[in-house]
Amino acid sequence: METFWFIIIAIVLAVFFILDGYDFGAGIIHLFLAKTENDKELIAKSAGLFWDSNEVWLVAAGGMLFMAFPTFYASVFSGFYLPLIIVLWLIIFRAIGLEFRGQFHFQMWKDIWDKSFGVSSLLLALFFGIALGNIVRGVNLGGVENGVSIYEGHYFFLPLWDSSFSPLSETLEL
Amino acid sequence: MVTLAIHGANWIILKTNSSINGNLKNVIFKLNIALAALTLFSLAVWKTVSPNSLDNFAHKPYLLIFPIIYLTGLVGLFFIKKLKKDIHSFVLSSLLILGGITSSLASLFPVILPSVNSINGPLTIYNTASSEYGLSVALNWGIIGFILLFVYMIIQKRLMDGKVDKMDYGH
Repeated sequence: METFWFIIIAIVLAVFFILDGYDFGAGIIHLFLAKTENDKELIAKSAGLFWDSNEVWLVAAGGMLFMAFPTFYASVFSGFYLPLIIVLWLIIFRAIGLEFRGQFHFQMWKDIWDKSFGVSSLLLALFFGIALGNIVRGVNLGGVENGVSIYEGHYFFLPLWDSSFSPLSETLEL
Repeated sequence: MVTLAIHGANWIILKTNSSINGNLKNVIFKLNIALAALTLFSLAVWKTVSPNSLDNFAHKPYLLIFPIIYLTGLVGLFFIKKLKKDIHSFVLSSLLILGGITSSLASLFPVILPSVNSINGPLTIYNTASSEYGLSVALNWGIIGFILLFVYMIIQKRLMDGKVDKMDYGH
């Protein structure tokens, strides 16, 4: 049964990346190659008409992980807390970029939301790639006793920055 | 990023009559060269970081189907300028993504999150799964969810078929 659910979740994740992947890719192309207003509008439309239905697959994958592998779900969502919050914000900015750009016919308004769509798509592709890399390489997992995590502050919480990244720090590092 | 840029470019070619469509095929070709180089580089790095990473493929040769799917997409996209139908190049970039993700997961199986320290073991499908009862309940809800998902996708496919140029959006 575990193997069955692993295969199902793998398929759902692959379908999500195939479907929403073209939205991310369209955003990247939009950012670097679309020059005329007609091209920008067409590319935004090619992603905008589909992004919401494609993300249903992400929600489905999350729901299935929660149902089938709750410990993995809890570990990953707490361990990758900050990157996941950033991903959530990027998804929001990508979506509103697509939905808002056509609401007013002011060039500056369109330019702002075009950048929001393009930059968010680029960063989302980058973040998902980093996530896949981390999952394949492995993380610094902490211990669990009787189903409860043992608090070990240095384990598997991967902040993008901490006090050592502060300009006041003597040793600057990421 | 490179894979998704290729996939997005194929989608734009497939769904629009944008003026950059002709240029996009050249862009895809160049990005594909970069992707082939990155694939070799990441394989070498992966093997260095995790020396046993490819053991699953040696022990269970049928899992090699997934890297073959990836390679089919990668090699096929080098012929993008010769492909007559846009859908073919889109299918090839879909194979890239499918093969990439499934190869990564197949290399890990049954581990789903390796541990890099020697104190705590990895998370596997066995030590993180719900109880047998929980998994069977999940199956019931999953079937209902999948039916809804497929109905939704079929309706959307029918509504959004063809090029999007004439469709109204965002006004």
